[in-house]
Amino acid sequence: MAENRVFVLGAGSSKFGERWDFSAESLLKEALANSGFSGAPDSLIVSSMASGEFISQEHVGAFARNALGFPEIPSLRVEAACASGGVASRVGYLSVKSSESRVCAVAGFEKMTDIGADSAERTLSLASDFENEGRLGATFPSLYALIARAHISKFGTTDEELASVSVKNHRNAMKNPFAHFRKEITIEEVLSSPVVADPLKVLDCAPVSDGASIIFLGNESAAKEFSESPVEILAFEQGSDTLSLGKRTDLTGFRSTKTAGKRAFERSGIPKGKIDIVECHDCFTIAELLALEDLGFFGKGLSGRATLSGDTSVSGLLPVNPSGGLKAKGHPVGATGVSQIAECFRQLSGTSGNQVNGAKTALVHNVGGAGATATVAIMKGGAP
Amino acid sequence: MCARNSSPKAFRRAKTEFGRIPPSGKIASFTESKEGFSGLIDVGRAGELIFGKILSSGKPSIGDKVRPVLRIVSKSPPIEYGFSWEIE
Repeated sequence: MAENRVFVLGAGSSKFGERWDFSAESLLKEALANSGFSGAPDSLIVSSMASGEFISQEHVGAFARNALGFPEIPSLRVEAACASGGVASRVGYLSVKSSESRVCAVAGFEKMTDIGADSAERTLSLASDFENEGRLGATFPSLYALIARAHISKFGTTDEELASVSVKNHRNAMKNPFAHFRKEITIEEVLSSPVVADPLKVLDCAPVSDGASIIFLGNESAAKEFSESPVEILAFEQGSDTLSLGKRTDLTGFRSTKTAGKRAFERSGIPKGKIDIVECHDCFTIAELLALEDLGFFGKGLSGRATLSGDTSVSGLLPVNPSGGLKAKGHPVGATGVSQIAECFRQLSGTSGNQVNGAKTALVHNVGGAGATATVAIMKGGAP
Repeated sequence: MCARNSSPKAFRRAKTEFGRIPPSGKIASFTESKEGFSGLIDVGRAGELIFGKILSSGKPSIGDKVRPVLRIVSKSPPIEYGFSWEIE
């Protein structure tokens, strides 16, 4: 049987941030309302990393289906740490591609600020190799700090180069109405912010956020029926690396990203030079530099210099994270990967708050843990 | 190692896992947080770096030689054991 082409028909996000006065249910409803999509999905994939810990709610597929007001369609939860949204979106993509669904909704959410910062940090650390690392005191800031230290040692990456990622993404978020932080910062402010895990400082780290996002995926006939500006997903790949950072032979790159990226470029037929926008996983500043190198956009050790010189700004050679990225848009874990697709849908349909002029193609990169899981999608605008 | 006062689970873990004391190694990468120094230690086994706390009064460097020191990770039952690393 022939495989279907898969399109994003609509997308929406709630505002990300410290949304203490809104429940997870309300955030999902807000994302749905902002999508403006009026079609009826025949299945629902839900992304949430740790709703049991954060809001004492499991059976998340049913929870989200009720919150969104969908009828008794099949619903399923997908979890892959911070890549939950990316993997859930990929499951939705495969569902449409294989004809299991005609219109599949993928909703991601996380309500992280109802518990204290220490509890949130411990919950997130459960996504590391807890027996060998988390149990012994490793947190994600410390694991990414170890990666940053290795990158600095091997390539001479500077603190200013790391900080420039954060400065750029905060600048981009100024134009994103859904962003957690809409405040410009300077390199000096990043460098003088409190150290979390040396060399990473507070302003090198993405925040703990509340938020929800939803996308609607459909086949070609659904795209013609429900959307005036569908965006095609040409490829959606997933790669893996060891759960434990200690089991790697190289600390300065993720095999998961390299594998998913290589396959996505091959399957989409779009070469690196033809990508107009990248939304990548910048949970820490070093993570964006690794992503750009692992995806092949810059040579090893060169992405920091490129960022500092403005090559990845919205007006640069390769606009990276025009949404503000995880750093400034926010990082409600289960929603993140879905929100990246939603942002690229807006970009490629010409409706982003921080529009990249003439953008026709986009690459979306989402990571779980310290690179144990990664997804890469390549999207293209234009009618089917 | 003394697991006499700990739970059966911790005793099993102590016997089977940490009964094999890793060799000395070198710091592959390190960080400093409010809890002090921690890092990944290269003990010369391909594809195996061991995470742990680094006991050092000053800032260590990548490549510094370290040796393992047994410590209790959690004192509340079940008592759990791990290794810290001491600069040689």
